[in-house]
Amino acid sequence: MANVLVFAETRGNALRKVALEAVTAARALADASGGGEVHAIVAGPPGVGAAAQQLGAHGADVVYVVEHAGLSSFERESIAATVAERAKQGGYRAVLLGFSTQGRDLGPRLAAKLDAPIASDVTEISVAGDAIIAKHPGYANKVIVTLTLSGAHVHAPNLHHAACSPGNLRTRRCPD
Amino acid sequence: MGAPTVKIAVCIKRTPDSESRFRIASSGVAIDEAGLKFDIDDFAGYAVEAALQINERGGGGETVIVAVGPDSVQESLRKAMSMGADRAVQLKADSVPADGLAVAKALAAELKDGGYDLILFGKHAFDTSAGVVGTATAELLGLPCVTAVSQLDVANGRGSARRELEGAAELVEFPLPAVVTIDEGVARPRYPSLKGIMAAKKKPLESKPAQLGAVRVTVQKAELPPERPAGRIIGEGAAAVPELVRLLQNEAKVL
Repeated sequence: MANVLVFAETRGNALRKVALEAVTAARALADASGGGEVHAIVAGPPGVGAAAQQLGAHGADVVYVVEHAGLSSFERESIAATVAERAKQGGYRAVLLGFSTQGRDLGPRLAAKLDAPIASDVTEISVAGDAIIAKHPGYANKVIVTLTLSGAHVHAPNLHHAACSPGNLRTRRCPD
Repeated sequence: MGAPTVKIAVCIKRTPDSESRFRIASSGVAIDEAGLKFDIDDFAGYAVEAALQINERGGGGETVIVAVGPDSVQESLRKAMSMGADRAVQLKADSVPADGLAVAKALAAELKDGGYDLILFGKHAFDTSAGVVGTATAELLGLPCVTAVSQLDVANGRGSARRELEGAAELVEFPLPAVVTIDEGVARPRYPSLKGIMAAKKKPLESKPAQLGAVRVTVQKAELPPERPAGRIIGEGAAAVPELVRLLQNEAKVL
């Protein structure tokens, strides 16, 4: 059983579609790993917390809301530090985020801060024991590559990181 | 003293021609490289050109090309030097791992005490399209990172850049040293001149082991995508509509 953290991307105070896709993928990943929890983190200007309900409806068990007037635009360094801090405290199996402009910037920063293996532009994600299996299109979609992300060691958190490609993973609303 | 000169590292990757038809190697975890034409990755090529132009405008400085990879990468390093780069460093590894963070660690170890003002990357490489290594290297080095830059300039110890975003552009300024990843639009990479090719043979190319650390992302399987079925002509004009609707409903199941 392992918990999964999602960075829920917003623009203005609205969730972006990639955020819901990432929550949906995280729900499936947590369920497949024996019923872990999905935690989402949303960061933006005051009022952004209203997105929590929608994240819950798509499968998040817990939503962390970070509201600050300084976050009205994508403050990449602050947000990377905030998400990394939550990820370290939470001991998550994986951190998921969209492969959008924000996600492309944030993903590698998180990977480096957390010393977590990263896969990008992921269209399918699953668990295999302690490892995470991620499929992504390489060579301009001419070759499909399946990656294994592994290598937890004793004193490091077993943290993986995958960025989910928008448009390929479907969003899902959880029944009430 | 003239304008302060800039020391630039450009980290490149060697990738196959994107127009190639790919086959999977018998290992099942890589492409078959036989018959493929390899070169400096397109975006990394723009980064090399951007570095050369900055130093030409500044009238000095140094451009150093760095790559992780087996000895075949030396050909690409030599090519960048024939374009005008001053020297090159190969961080030797049997292959470039799929673990972008491991590659970033090897590059950061090489670059951290190099005294570079600017470290350039392509925004991503054709083979993985991941775009991890540049940003992760910046993070490991604790440097500011500006990604997907289509115009880049340096003046008075500061950089300025234009970034292409989803449907918008952003103009940014940043202190040096910094890491910048390069999009197309900066400048077309020049062709090496004969003189450049001759000069490159005498330029220093240092080779040392890549400090990759643990490689934790590995390719389990590489496969070709399913073939797209050939197109079909089902009729012409309005007469074709009922059949088209039937196929869209029953075969494609999109209606």
